[in-house]
Amino acid sequence: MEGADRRGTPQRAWLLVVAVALVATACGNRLDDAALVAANYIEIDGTALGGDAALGDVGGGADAAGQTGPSESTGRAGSTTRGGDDATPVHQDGSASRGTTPTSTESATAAPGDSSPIVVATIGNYSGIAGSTIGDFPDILRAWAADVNRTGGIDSHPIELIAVDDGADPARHRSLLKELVEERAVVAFIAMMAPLTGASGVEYLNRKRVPVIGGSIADQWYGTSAMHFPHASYHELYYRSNLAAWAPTLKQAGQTKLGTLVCSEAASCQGGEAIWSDNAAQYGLEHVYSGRASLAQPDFTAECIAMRRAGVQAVALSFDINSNRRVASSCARQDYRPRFLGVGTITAPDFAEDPNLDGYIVGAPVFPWTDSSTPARQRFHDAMAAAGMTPSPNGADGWTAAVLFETVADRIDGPVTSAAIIQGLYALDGDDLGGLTGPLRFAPSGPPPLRACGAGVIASDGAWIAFGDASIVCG
Amino acid sequence: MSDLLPFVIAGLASGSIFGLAGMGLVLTYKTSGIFNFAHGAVATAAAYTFHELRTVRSMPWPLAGAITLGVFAPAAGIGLERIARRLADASTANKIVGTLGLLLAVQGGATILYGSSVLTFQPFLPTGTFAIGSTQVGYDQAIVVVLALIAAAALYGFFRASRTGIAMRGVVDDPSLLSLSGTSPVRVRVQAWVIGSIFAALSGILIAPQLGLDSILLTLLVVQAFGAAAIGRFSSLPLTHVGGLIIGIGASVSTRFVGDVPTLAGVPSSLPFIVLFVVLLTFRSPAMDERIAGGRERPSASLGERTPSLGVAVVVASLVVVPFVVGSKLPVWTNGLVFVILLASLALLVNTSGQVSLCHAGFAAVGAATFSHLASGAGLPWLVALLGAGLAAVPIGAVVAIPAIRLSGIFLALATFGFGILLERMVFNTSIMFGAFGNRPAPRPDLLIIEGTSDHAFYFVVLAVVLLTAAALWAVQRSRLGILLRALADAPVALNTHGANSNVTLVLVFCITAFLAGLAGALLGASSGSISGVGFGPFDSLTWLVVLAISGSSVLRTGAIAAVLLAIAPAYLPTWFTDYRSLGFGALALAASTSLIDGAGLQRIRASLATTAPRRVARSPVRDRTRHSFGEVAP
Repeated sequence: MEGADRRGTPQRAWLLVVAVALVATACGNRLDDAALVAANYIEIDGTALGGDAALGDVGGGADAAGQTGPSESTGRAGSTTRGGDDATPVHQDGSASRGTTPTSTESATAAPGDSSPIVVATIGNYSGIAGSTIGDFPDILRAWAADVNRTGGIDSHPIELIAVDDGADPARHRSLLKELVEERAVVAFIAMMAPLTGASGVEYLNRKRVPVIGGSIADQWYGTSAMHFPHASYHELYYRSNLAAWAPTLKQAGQTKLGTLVCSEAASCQGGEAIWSDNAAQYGLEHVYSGRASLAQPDFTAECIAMRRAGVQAVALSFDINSNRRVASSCARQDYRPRFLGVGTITAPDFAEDPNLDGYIVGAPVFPWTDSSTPARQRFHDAMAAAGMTPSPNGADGWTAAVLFETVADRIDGPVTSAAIIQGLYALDGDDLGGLTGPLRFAPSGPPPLRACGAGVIASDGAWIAFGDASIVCG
Repeated sequence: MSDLLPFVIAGLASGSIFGLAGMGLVLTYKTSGIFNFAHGAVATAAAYTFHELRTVRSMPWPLAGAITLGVFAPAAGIGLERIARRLADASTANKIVGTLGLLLAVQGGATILYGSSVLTFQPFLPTGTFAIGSTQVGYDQAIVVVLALIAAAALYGFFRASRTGIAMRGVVDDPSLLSLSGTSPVRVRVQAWVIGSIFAALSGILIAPQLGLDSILLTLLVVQAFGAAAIGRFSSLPLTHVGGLIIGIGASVSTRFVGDVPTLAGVPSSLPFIVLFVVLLTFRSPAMDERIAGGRERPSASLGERTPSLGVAVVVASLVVVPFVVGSKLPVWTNGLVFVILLASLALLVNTSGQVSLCHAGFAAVGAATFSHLASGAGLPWLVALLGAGLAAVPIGAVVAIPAIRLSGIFLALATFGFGILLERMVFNTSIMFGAFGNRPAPRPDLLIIEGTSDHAFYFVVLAVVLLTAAALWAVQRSRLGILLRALADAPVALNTHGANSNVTLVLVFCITAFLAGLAGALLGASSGSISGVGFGPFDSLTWLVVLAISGSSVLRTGAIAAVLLAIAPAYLPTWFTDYRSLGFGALALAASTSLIDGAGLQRIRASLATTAPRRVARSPVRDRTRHSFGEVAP
């Protein structure tokens, strides 16, 4: 009897676990919006933005847009972003639809004359280790959404932005995609920075035909997924765009002997290693050194000595922000000061103030975040200022992705649906979003026919300076 | 030689830090028998304490340093000694889980308090340089080298000449005899832990200015000192210091040679773990004879699974209903099912056969990569690729069984941990596994009668595999092999005397568990449509072991509970809870392993973690010989 009791107790406990889990799960599906926010979402913007975003205020905002300098110069209402090569309105009934699978997100529409919000979202690795380098993307998108809503929304529809952290869990990422598409009527995902989890959603997004615009464009799936629309050079082209951005300065300075030093722990560090070394010659550079080092190394003195011996004049770094600083410090101690090269997500704005990193070049895939010489770029600066944010490489990156969505959505003549957005993206023909990025084209079949385009931004005497005339170089 | 001199000089500074951290580790291990996986956590906590006092509370650095080393570190040492005392009679697995729990808790706590971004830690030692040949050496680096050297010499002299030092050796040899001579063994052990903690704190403070304030990096740095401790045979302090220097210099010098060979670029940063694995695999010392001396203990009193009953039928029926009630959370539940296979296979290894593996994620990674190569690369049918994924992991399991034959307990854990790190750093991003971009496609099944690409269909495919696996594991436990596995945990020597070959049994259980982990890895890949090394790192193995320990002592039930905790529950908790997860798991594992919790529900956990009659084992002659063996090596 006693034995029977002993057997029964854990069994009952186990059953209880299952029962509780199921009940909790069922409850979870019935969470109202407020509970969802509390449970998962970092923040929801849009109609909840406050007075600015309320539809009644949108009209006022539109009036203001016509009266105030900043609104005019920002080009909100699409004046700059729509002024590209192709401003043809996109109709939802376009016959060039790729494939035959009907979209399942047609419910995510806003009828003509309706003022319902356009729901967009971003799901990413916004906490933990990855979050320390890309965790600011939700804030950047929030600044964009606030800017759009402040000036009348898109065709009078305010933007509702849902930003969610997936905790770097691929299953959770996919689960959140389903939830947002099927229960929250999200029409598109913007600047989805999910390098650790994004691949888990590719199949679902392609099946549901919901577009992702921008995000972690260096990742492999941007070259293979039909629903991923890069806002700049993607995957291998992304790394080649780094070379395109670095090369003019390096050649001008006569620092053409290139080394690469990347972290040994993560694949995300090593993505560019082979591409930089294999393609250096095309950009007039000579690759002379490859090295890997641990993020947890006490210092990088040995690597610096090895690079000096190899004759490295410029070294492309791929660590985290902190280790990039440490490499420069170790080399400076040896009185070895090569020019350091990096990409936007692993560049902190205060690198410019670090004397060891003087001359550091960021190979940005989009416009130099320091530049405000065009209306579209000025709008970025104004929006960042309004949001209390400092312009940054990540800021320019996320902003460009958001403006790509905005540009396409603004041209849609009718309800803004996933299908209409996809057609709008296919209709682009070399549009550079008013100088925010390189020429954009998307093909219904095959990978986007883009080029390797980028801009160099240099840390010089405590400030960031765009190379040349701050234009985007394609090569 | 002059060509290498700059690299030797550069390696001295790194090596001294490894040596310093390693000496603290060995000191506490020598005197308590507890290998403190949380040694790096102590260094981390000390660095944060120093930062808090100096930067946040604006204290002068000498005062902040004095408080950190004079107050915090001794307090941590006293606390650790209390933990170690509670773990002293526990099973080896329990000792590992206890200190791993502390490590996770400290990491989680630091993240909660200070965020996950690296904080700048301003230098407090002079940062100027002087030249030795063509190499510039920082004064701070030179100070670290000298400090480490002095510490090694002082500790050596301390153990040789001082009364306390001799007492510390005595507490290892025979605590009862020491007690008879009027010296309290407890006091001596406290002193040893205090010294060990001061060493850890010192290494944390010294390295933080170079590394930055990051709980994970600081912990990882000290993990590299495991290799130095291995060279010191986990008993000799001077040799440990020398080991640190060998690793530091070796890594630095190898940088000189691998620059032109990209495939070897990962060697310098992996050297500490190559050394750890090779030393454990090839050298023996009395301190490493845990297995022979009887350190292996039966991990659980309640091993087998019960006969399938109505309850099981209800569980299965509930799982069948899941896709229709969980809505968009279905991928999370599918993942949870896969984790049942993954963790039940680990439970078979840990709970049934008494082995420890900290490279279980490596098995799963091999399976996942193989599956992608077979299904997407070679175009083989899905089921064939799935089977191939499991089979590909089997040889890796057999390789890991080699250290299991030679080692047990803590040394097996260390060897498997080193192997896991090597796998991640040297192989993951090669074309053999995940490729240079670290990502490969992993298709879902398109079976004859089931179109498995939808989430619902794939859930049922996974459920079918889980049920088959559960049936197989249930059968294994009831088979002759199951009896042998339990005997392996109880008394391997007795197993041999009865004519069974414990080595063959060991290899078998590692192969089985690797096969199942390989299957799970493939299913994880197919679940998300692609696979990468993310989620298969050595620290994932470590977390899995900790969660398994707090989930029970059986195989299937424990695997299922652990899967819920790891894969399903987080999806229903707020995002901010992610930061608290490590703290929660760590604290729970620490509490459970030290029997600090006695609630009705947790008693079962405690029972599963505690060994059978530990005190009886502790008093046995075999156990005494184990302790004696630690003291046979000179300090």
